[in-house]
Amino acid sequence: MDTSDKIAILADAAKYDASCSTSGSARVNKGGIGNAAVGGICHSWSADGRCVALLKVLLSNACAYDCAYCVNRRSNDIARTGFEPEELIKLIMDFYRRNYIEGALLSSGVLGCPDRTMERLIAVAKTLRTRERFHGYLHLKAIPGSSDELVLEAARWADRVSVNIELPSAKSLAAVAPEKSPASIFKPMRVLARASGFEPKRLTLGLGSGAPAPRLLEAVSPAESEEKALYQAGAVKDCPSHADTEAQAMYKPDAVKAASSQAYELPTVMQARKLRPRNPQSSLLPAGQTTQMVIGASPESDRDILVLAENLYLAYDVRRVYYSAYVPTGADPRVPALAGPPLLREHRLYQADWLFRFYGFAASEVLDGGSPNLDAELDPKCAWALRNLQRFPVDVNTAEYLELLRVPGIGPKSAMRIVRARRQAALTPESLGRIGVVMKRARWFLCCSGVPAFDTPARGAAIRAPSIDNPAALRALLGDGASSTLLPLQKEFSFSS
Amino acid sequence: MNIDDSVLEYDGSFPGLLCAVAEALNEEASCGRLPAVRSEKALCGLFEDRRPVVRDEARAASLWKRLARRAGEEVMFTALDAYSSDREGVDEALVLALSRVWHQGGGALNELGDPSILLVEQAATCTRAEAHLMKGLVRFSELSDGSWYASIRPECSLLHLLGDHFSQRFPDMRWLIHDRRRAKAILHERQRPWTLVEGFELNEPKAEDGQALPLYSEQESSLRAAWARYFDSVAIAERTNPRLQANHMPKKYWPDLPELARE
Repeated sequence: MDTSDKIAILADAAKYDASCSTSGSARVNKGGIGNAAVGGICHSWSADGRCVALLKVLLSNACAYDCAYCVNRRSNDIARTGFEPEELIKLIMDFYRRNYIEGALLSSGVLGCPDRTMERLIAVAKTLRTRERFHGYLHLKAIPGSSDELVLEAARWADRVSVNIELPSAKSLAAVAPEKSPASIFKPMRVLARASGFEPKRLTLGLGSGAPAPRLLEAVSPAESEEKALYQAGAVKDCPSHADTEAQAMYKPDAVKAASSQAYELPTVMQARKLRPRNPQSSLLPAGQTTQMVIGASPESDRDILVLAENLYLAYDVRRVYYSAYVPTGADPRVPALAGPPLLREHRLYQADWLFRFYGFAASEVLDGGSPNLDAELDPKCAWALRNLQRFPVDVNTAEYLELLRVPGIGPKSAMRIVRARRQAALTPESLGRIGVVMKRARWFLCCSGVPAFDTPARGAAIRAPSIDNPAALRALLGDGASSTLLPLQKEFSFSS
Repeated sequence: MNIDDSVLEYDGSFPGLLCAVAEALNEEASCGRLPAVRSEKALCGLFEDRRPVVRDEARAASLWKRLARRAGEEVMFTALDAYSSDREGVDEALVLALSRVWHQGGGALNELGDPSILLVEQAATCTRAEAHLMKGLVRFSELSDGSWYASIRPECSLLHLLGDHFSQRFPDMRWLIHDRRRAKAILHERQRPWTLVEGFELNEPKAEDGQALPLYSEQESSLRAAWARYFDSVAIAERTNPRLQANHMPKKYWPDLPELARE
């Protein structure tokens, strides 16, 4: 089999890993080739519209594990192959020199034991960094169950190391991925958090007001309780899990103070990320860790998924949680037979995730309406605004940045522009449209120095203003059309397959 | 028609524009009114009286320095990037914006309610965004002499924003990025600072007897094919979404991308 055929097989085998981000590292060129761009760079976009920034391949797609959702599970009858390390190194260098890629994301099927597989991944990364003097972006997958020493060794050579959490509950993980346990996933995540300078937060059951009863009914051994707790709402407690002095030193006193002043109230993900200083120049894991969940291969609700994601952001400082709509990969009775990947659901989860990281929302707010799942027709921010109409209208000339961020149609960029522009002169509805506020949505929630924005005629056909206390009429105006663009993609697939 | 309606004309370059701004500020100081400024490349109105302003690098540099001291160098880079967008009307907006910077300082650029200021801000953002995109979309090909060539056709004149990035990334490569829309290029010799070349054309290599030599290195076509194969394999068929793909990467860029412009 020649290299080109191997590329086809091993890229196909790796493509369900959604992570393609190359941000967070500022690795500089110290003689040799390459560097990393702290904001990340996309190099292409594949036919599915996902960005291509890294050579994302498996070292080998032969796997001893039998995870039901995974195309590489040992019970799946597919062609198996693997790269020779030198073959892969040459390919990465050839692609990098042509500026095809920003670096590589290397993973592998589990061959032999997890440690043996991890060592093979590390060897490729180490050769690239030392012999080839390659300073481009490297993202390695940590194999669940590999030793702490090897996970740390991977962190030495890579910009980012990640472990996929795969399923949103311990129960589903046991049902679908029998060889993986929560402990084998969360242990390397704790090692990685520490490697990037973040002391993982302790997780305890039932903290926080109104936390629901534990949803996991099976017996929890003391050693495993921390992992189990991750799946619970309000489970992250703000104190270090290990009291060794080194860890204490890494722990930032400011963060403790800010968080403890709010009693048991959790900080939002955005607050926690602001308080957490990051060092893109660090020689150890500058871009930290990420993780990924498969969406739709197990029965959890959006609430379960978002609560877990929020806990992961707070407890391990993961840089991103990726949500990967489950693509049916051949019949396996352990996973549901879907017509197509649940793309609309994935889209809404990403929108909610953005609300965590850039808009100051908490998981409990995103789903405060009683339903365990996100609204299919509205983006989660519009849905939240409609449930909280008493907080509107917001006055653009006086509201704080965080309040502006809560207005549908205003994002971090336009909120910053509003704050900048109003220092010079009071803003009017006309000028808001020009500086990038999506007035189609924002007009119903804004006023400018006391004057409601919806009184100004819309461009083109005049829309009659529904009263702000008529949520049904507003709802009809706020739909973003995602369901009409994403659902047909799913249906099309279900007809053709 | 009176002299007040006359228009200052510059040569269509950024230093030329700065000289026209300097002249306009002088006239504003003496007669209290900022004259209009147009490029010599812009169509002339029927009753327009144009007075050319000579391009003078020293005068342009001195205005740059004075404005930078007043409002910060960042403001001047914003002006340069806005100008580089090649958007219609951005030069006239810059004259207004820079005169306001001259009178009010750098804060003037925050007044996004003013259409000229907003146009400058948007034009600068546009150039920077396309330059960021190009950092990913530049595709080098290895030539038969071992140097590396990339062809791009961006909307904005953005080579000046790519030079440092690629010099730091590929310090050991002799490379050239060719803006074919503007016949400009940036050239990088190993371990040296990059330089801008105007009026660049790529010549087919020829042997001494005049016979055409292969332009690209031997392994170039097989590597392009391998990349295209990778590109196809990494897409998830069940998620095919050409609209999303074209949103991120407009089709105007595709002819210069080996993974999308198949031979």
